[in-house]
Amino acid sequence: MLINRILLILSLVLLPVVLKATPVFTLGNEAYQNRDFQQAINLYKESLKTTQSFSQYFNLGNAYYENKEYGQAILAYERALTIKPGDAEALGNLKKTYEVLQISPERVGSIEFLARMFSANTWTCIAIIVILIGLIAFCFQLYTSVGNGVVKTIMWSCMVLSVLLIGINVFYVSQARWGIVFKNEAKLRISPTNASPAMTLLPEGTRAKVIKTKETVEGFVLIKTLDNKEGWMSMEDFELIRS
Amino acid sequence: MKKFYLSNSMLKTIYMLFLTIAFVSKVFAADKITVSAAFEPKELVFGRRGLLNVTVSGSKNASAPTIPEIDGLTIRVLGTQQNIQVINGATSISSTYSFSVSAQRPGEYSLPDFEWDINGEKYLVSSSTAKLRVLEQGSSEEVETGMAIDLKVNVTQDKVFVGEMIPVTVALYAPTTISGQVSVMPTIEGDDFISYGYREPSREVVENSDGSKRQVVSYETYIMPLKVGDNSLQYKMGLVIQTPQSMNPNRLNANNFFESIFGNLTINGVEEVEPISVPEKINVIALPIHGKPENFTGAIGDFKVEAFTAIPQDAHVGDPITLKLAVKGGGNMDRISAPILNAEGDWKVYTPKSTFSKEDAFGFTGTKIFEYIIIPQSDKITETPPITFSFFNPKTERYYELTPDAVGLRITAAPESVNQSNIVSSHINQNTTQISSEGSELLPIKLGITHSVRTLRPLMTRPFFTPLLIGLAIAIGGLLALIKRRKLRHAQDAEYLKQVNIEKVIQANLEKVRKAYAKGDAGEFYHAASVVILEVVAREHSKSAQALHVEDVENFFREKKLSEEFISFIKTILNTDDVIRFSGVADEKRLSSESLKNFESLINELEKCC
Repeated sequence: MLINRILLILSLVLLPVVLKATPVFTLGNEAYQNRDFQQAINLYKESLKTTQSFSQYFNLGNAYYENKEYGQAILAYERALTIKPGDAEALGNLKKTYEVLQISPERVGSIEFLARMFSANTWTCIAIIVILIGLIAFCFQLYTSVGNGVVKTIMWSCMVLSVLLIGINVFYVSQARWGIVFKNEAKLRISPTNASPAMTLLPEGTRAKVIKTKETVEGFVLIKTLDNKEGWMSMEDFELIRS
Repeated sequence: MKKFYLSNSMLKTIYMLFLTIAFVSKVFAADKITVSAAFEPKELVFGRRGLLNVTVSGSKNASAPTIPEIDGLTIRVLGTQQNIQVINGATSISSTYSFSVSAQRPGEYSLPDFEWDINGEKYLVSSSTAKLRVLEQGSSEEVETGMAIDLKVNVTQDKVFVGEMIPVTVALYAPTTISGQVSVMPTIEGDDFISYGYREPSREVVENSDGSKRQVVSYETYIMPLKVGDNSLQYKMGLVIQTPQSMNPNRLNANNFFESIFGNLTINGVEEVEPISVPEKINVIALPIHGKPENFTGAIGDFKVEAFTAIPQDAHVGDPITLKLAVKGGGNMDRISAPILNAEGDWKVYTPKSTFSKEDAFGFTGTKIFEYIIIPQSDKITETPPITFSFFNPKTERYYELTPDAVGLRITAAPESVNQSNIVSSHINQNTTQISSEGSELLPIKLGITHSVRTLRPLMTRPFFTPLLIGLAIAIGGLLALIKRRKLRHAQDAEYLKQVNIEKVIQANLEKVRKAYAKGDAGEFYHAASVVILEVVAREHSKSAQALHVEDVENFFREKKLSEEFISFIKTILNTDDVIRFSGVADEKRLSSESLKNFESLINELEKCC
């Protein structure tokens, strides 16, 4: 399959970086097995400086969970899921973490369910390929009269598919603004200063969307939670999933 | 002569017309003009605004009067109001010009006599009634005359523990002669205390020493001190009031203070007042350290444990059990955290959650229920883990610890099937290069790095992506434009069009040859074959296919060095086509498998040479 070939090429390109990250990652695994979770966290984070992979984020999530840093664990699992959407193990551990925090995870809509079949970049590649095929079919039927019926069917199918694929890509772009509150009782402030009174306290693991990214004040972001609470959050307590 | 009869409706119309004319002429008839001026109210507390009303009766066309300057008073125009009254057929008209009056200092002020130009005539406005007395704020006179608006705070306790909820009454004193609305509820100045809302205020009328009456509106609330030390409790509230003279006198009673009375007022007569209470010193002391239980979670008040339950009481190892602890009483309910369960080792305890059912408006009394999810890790457990709720009672100034009786439990080992599935799961995990953490509820970590990416940001949000897409679109657009341009250029090229056309004819006739052979149609076969041959020649010849002779064809192929055998076959085809066409009879014997085979060989040869 073409996608597999692309992934293979990407793997070959990334191979040197992966090889560099492996020793630190392995040390992290050893620390995890020895139940030294803080050391495991440090090592996994160190390995992430050279490359980022599903396994690293997944293991980091486990280490955070065991270290009872549940907000950070959710953030790590969410990041793992951005690389490998729909992974059953990552979803399982994420669900477990939400259970511990007694938070209801976000409901998955039909578009999101579909989108999570592949990663954002895979969907982008598929979209580009489909659009190109559609364009070629369009040109073909515009300038030749050979096999018009089949070409037309291909062209229209590609056009309909393109709309769906663009929708999925737009969904992923909007997802890029979501983040996780990783500190418990993080203050959602009225204005972007530490002196500002807290509007409410958010529990760790809360999902929130960054709004007005262009108006971000240094050290603070304007966020909106799923239950429409809007306010300023310190970047020390909040991190974007796809940062 | 012709007689005119008036109908009933015409008579009614004429009658109404006369009545209207009579009324209008009465209304607008010249009347005796009188002028007057008066301050409203005549006594004013310094800092508030009053009114100066200048009235003309008997004329409706008077222009606004020019008020002379009075030292110490600021007078501004507010507006005008006209009044037309018809009493027993007599009509009176009056116009009142209102001015806002504010004093720059307390004292007595008089409006000097001044002339008012009405309809070209001058009228003297006498100062006899226009006198204003401005009292100092908080003066004894003000209080005695019942004009003060005060805010008073009543705290029943002089010693308060930090974090303790105490009742407070905030009372608003106001003269019965003024009316208004609350714009801002009483709020605490500073951040030494927090307030817990208000109940519906109570109202009463009290009598002053001079017999005058004041209305009192009392707000009950609870406050909580946040800092230790001598803290000042000061309240402030916002009112929008109206002076009595502008109001309907019938509304001046003790119950109307907080009614909406602006229906008969102009907005210009409204005044905003912000009464502030005298700061009340409250000694806030810290909770005693002596005797403070280790598990004290900040409860201050008087409480009792209402219930302690566990559901289910029969469970397997690993099954969740819900513990509920209900605490009832009065105190700082909102600040009480869940007591810590002493459940180490044999239990897994999740973060507890709490719910509160308040029994009063402030949340001072009620029942708070703490809910714990606990999971037994051993089948040796026989009862719930111990739990102790501690609180400090400010009345007795002592700490108390309440430990409810443990609930008996029957915990049995987990069913065999669960264990089996765990074993299977563990086995699978080992085969898939994963490590399970000892005792972990999580799915195990990964041993190798898989699914690497350079960044988590989607490709679409990367800076290079948009230019790349634009570049791709431009390239495709350019390609399309090039193709189009080429097509257009060819459309104007006669030689190109000729070649394209010949090629089409050749292809179509080759197809015809094959079909004719399949049908056994010799006429069609030879005709299509001769067309193909002639078109091949015409492709490079100056003549068209239709104008070519057999000699031209023969010479052409000789030039192309085609073998004589093929030239002879070509001549046979052309001649046979002519014979069939001109004789009108297609001799089927002339069409054999040899004919098609030879023709295909000829075509192959022609492709090589031409």
